[in-house]
Amino acid sequence: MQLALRHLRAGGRQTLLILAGVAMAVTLVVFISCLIGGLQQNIVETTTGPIAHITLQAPERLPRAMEELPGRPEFLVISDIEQRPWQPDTIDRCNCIEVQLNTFEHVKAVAPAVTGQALVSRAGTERSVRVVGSPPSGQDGISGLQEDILEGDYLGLRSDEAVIGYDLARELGAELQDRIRLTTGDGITETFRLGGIVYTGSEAIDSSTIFVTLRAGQTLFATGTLVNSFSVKLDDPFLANDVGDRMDASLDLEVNTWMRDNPGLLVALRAQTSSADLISVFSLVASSFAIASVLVVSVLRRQREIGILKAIGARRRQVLRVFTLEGLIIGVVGAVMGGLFGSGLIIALTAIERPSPVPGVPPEPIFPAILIPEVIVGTMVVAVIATVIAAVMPARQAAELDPVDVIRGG
Amino acid sequence: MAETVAAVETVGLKKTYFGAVPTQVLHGIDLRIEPGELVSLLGQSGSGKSTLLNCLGALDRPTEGRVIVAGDDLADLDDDELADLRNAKVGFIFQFHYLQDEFTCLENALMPITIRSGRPKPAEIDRVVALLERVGLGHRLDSPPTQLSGGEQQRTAVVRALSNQPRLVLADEPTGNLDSKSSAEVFELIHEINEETGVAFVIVTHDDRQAAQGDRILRIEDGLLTEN
Ligand SMILES: Nc1ncnc2c1ncn2[C@@H]1O[C@H](COP(=O)(O)OP(=O)(O)O)[C@@H](O)[C@H]1O
Ligand SMILES: [Mg+2]
Repeated sequence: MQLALRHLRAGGRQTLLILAGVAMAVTLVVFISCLIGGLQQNIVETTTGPIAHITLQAPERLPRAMEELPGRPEFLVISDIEQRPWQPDTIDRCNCIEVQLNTFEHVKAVAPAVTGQALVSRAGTERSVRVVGSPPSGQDGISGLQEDILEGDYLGLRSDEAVIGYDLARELGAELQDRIRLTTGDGITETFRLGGIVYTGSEAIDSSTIFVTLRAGQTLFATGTLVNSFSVKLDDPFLANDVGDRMDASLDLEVNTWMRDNPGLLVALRAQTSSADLISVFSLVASSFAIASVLVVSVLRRQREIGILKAIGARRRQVLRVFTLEGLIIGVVGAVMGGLFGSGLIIALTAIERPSPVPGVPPEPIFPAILIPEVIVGTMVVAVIATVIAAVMPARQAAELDPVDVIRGG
Repeated sequence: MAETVAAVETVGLKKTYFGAVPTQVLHGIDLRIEPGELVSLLGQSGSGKSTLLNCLGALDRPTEGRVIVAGDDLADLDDDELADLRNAKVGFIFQFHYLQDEFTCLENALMPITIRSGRPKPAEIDRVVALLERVGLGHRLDSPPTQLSGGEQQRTAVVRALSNQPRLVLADEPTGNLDSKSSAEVFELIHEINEETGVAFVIVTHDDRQAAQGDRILRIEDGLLTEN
């Protein structure tokens, strides 16, 4: 132990070089992993934060072939073809389903809703929007609107009030308490007062969604006391497909998940993760090789000392241990330095902020990196292991050295 | 009974190097060195003096024949046991001091003890310090080897060879790298220590005058030992 420490100290510049190598590799890996991890978490949060992870809708009533009809008569005469009137598909047994959905694992919130397309108009400006009629207390669990509200209030929304996105409000030139008019495809028109303006960061919501109460939605889309969809929020957005599939299997509803709606995003996230992993692996491997080669040289340089140690009775394993220990010490010190430096860089980076485009919203970091403790500790552990492995080969070389050769060589 | 155990003994020792061309260096050497003897080993360059010393000191194994160091037949020992035997029973002094630059004079002298037990005990440190004082290095205990003169370095190496209280010290041209004054000093020292401690010494030397001061003179010629 003492021997290893002394050698390291005596190694001077070389030891520093190796240390710097380990520290830099760890810094790089920590930096990249935390940066990409943070960016991804940010993307996933902005994408899935304000939307439902799973949506369940009444199944479309597809026309079925006559052969499939139960108890069909031998002969059937088609006398008339009836046009199916348009009607929002509604889900019966509303409360019962809501209770049932809540029993699935990982479900955090469930909100019944009446949703549909409508035209919003104010002072001659018209926009096509999606209307979500849902009890604010339930919907807030899905979209977290109350938190994102810039002006007004969402949780206390009344049935003659609507909450709209910041961008939409700007396009309509609408301000709090202004009146807006919603017209559905069925020609039903209702007027709402603007009860709140939200800024979620999600384009779809900020520019083309209007939230009203469930009652208002039911009136607007004439569903009576029924609803046509359920929104579900999970504790882990990436379980949407799994949980969705289980819901699909036990409920007679059409299940949609955010993951299936955004296949491109998932592919991009995965590609990002793999390239970050690849960079990490390469930098660790590269630094291991660098460490190994520097250590090999240092063993060569110290052949005489190693030879004499063996001559005066150091066992093979002792020599092996000294050099492996050196690797371990370098690995630990380098990893800690790299971990601290990498974390410092990340903290410094997140401190760089840019003002939000929306007044009243606090500035956000340009690089939404986050410190991921598992990644940092994991990288350090891997770096220590890699350094020790890199040290083993030169250590073996040292341990195999025949003192007779050294002494003869002078 | 202890008196009858030789410091080192060989029976029919042969050594062949299997390089590109096999070279037999030792052709069957029988030798017995008693505890406390000081033996001078002479021979022309390349005659096999170092080879013999390496075999006596368990640094190398004979091709044929037996080597018994302080009662232990080397053939019965594995490599680790050979290392332990070198550590405990043999001291080496080479032409070069091979001190470790990153340790002080005292730490270098303690190295065999450190290797054996990890951390020298106070009594061991006292003993080694006394030895260093004995060889005139009392004021140099904490100096790195690089600050010592050639003679001082070699005297440190002498103490290192003695620090584990070996039965046998093998010195391969210990003064070959020193000027004549330091050379004489170191040789004189070895002599005195041999008398004081009763440790057996085998010294390879080219200096006939130095050789003559030993108890016995052995000469290697054509791979065989002659005594005069
Ligand atoms: N490892 C080795 N491989 C091959 N030949 C060797 C080896 N060591 C020594 N020799 C040869 O053995 C002979 C004796 O060498 P050595 O014992 O060093 O002689 P001395 O010490 O008397 O000068 C020399 O001819 C030398 O070249
Ligand atoms: Mg020689």
